[in-house]
Amino acid sequence: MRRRGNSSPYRVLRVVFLTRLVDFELLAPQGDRSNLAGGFATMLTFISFTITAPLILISGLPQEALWGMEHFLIAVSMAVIGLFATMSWESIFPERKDMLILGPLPVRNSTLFLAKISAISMALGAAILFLNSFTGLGWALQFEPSHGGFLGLTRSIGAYWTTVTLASAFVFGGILTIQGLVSVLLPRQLYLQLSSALQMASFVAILIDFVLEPSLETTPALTAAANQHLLHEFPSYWFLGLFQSLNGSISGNVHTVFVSLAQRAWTALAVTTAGGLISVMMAYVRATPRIIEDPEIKPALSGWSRKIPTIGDPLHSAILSFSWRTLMRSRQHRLIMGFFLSVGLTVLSLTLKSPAGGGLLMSGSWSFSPAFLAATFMAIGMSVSGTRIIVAIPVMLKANWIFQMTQVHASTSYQKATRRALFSIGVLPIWITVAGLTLWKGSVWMAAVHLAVLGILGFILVDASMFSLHKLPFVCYWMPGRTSIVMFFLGGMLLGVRLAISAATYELKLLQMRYGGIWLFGGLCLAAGILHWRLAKSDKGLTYEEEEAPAIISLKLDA
Amino acid sequence: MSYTLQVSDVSKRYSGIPVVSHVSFTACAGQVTGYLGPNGSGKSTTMKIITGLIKPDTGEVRFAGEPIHNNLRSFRERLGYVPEEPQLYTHLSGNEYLTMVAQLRSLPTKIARTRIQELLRLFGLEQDRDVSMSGYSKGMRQKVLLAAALLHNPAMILLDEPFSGLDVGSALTLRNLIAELAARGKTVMFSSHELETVERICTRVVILHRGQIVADDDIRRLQTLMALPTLEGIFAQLAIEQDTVAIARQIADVIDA
Repeated sequence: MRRRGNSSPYRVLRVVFLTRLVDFELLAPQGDRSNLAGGFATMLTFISFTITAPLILISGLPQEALWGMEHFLIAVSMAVIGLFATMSWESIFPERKDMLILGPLPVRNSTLFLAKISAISMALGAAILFLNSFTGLGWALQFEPSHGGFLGLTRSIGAYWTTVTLASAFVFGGILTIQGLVSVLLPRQLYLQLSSALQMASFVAILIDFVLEPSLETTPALTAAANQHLLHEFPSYWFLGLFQSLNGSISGNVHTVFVSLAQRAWTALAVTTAGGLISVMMAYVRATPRIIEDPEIKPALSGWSRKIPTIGDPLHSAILSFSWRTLMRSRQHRLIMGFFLSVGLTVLSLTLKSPAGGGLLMSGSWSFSPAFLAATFMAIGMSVSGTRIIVAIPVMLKANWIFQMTQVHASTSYQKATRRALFSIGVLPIWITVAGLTLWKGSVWMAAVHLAVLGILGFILVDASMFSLHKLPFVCYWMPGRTSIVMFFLGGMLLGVRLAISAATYELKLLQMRYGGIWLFGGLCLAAGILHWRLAKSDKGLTYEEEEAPAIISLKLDA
Repeated sequence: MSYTLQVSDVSKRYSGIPVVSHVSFTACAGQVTGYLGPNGSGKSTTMKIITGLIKPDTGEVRFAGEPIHNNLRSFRERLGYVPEEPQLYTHLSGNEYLTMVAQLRSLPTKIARTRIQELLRLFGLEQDRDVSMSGYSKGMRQKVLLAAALLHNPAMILLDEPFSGLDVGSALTLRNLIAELAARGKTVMFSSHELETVERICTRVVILHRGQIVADDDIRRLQTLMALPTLEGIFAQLAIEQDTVAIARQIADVIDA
């Protein structure tokens, strides 16, 4: 039996790095790490269950619908792993404090490297496992080409799990390759400056790839010559081909297409796995000694987060700049935000894109359809909810005293400043994106009305999310360790999708009526006004939970 | 108006155990008041009570004749504070942090910009103004805290171990700065373990031991009364119970054994 004291450095470090992926010091006193991890696992499992549950009612789906679902499930796994891997961007390299603590100890660099890779792989592996916990059985059985009996079913399940694992490994390897290559090729100081920008670019690329990839899961679309370049550009289709190949379900006209896609998947997997390992190993060898040798002073901060403009009121500027800079520079916050956004995106996609969810977006169009409008509502809702959760996680609790010491304004001023910060993070980026899309694709009048509606909806959601928030963004807890937050988000998403579709249908009807747009806008303005008035009345002043830590703890022996 | 700080009969308990007991003293404008005591004597707790970060169980703190909790906002507008630990938002640069503090205090932009630029230059941080503070040394962080405390030209300055981490040159500058600020009519109170510095720049000292004041007087008067030539001697007699020489010898014996 292995004694606890005999754990190898590799095992000890792996556990340390695994628990450090999310900074658990950020947890509220009422929360604990198993609760938070359990919450995330529950959420992913619940998504998997939701995707699989319709199978109770559905049977004998046509081949093309099955292809659509296969592709959807592979794409979701790739997107979720991609977002996780991107958000834990610099976790792969040792931190300076690791080197200072572990440097004098007899621990090899290779042990450190293996422990880091292993910790991140374990976390990503757990995400794949939970995300596919139900689909990996329920849907995998549906994908059986109905000629293999028990062996065929086993093969289908094996093919499914192998495909999602390899697809995730491809994404992870790709991100490692980019990181490793950039780290090796660029001077260290320049790498440190560009790293954040590159991380954000990768994050956006994964999101865009997932949202914009076309639906080509029909025989005519798969075999059309015009679509071949698209199929070969989107990696999720390569792995769809690989799945067909492993599952033994390739036949008919699409045989050549799937074989070619599968070959591409194998090649890409080999390239990214080898590329990732070699480049990161090279980067390790190169970077590890330099981390210790780095001067105490890090390079000057670069990027637009340094140049956030002032917006009139100095207090509002201070809270806004602090919020944006924290979000841009804190890996923990970006990681958690990425998690919620990716989960939201999955739920949204499930409803609007997948055959099981009704296939509202199967056409791949984003004109003024109920699906498109609903997607924009959901995007705003998801973004505000994610922002609301993120701002409640403190960035550095012990530094909060400065906000208390400089609290020289009325509490309503802080409430307004917080509201503005939430709006700028949760609403503005989505609103600008939607503005671009609607003005590009739709009529100017409809785009203008929809953007106005979306803006007011943003105000309403931000105000609604602030009712229990008597704190500054990123300054105090809002119990992030509680599972209820995760479940609240998920429940809200599932309910929100249905509400968004109804609201979108109603909006489209009103937009087609004379003065309908004005009625809609007026009604929303009234609702926003009432909500804002209620919020202003509910102001209870700013609160800071952290109490002075007692220097002496009484054992109460005299009690 | 006289910006006098009056601490009257202040007590604070944690879990029933007294940390500060019936502490009363006065710090006058134009004077530097030293607040001394061994580790765990309640210095930082008193400092936090004075800032309003902690509420005392009993007693009150008055500034310019008014209890601070009657109008904490007004008091904080006139207070500059450097805490014991250099706790800063290290994901910000020095310049960003000071700008944020100036904005939180609603200093006019032009004045804030000029003061930040000058303070960074004078504290020797100009080169690293746009560098993330996670890369700053302890001394550099301490300088940022000092700059943040002085940015709004406060009437009262509370410094909790301000020399911590500073190099010799910076410590000398700070020593002169404290004297200069007092000479300009500000109420300055600071705690430090550097008794030589305290002896040089403080007009009076308050010595705390086990949460209670054991001395509160002019340094020269204390020296005369106790017939001791240095503040170190006075401090050792009032606040140190251990035989420091014997303990040092025992430590060496332990590692030699």
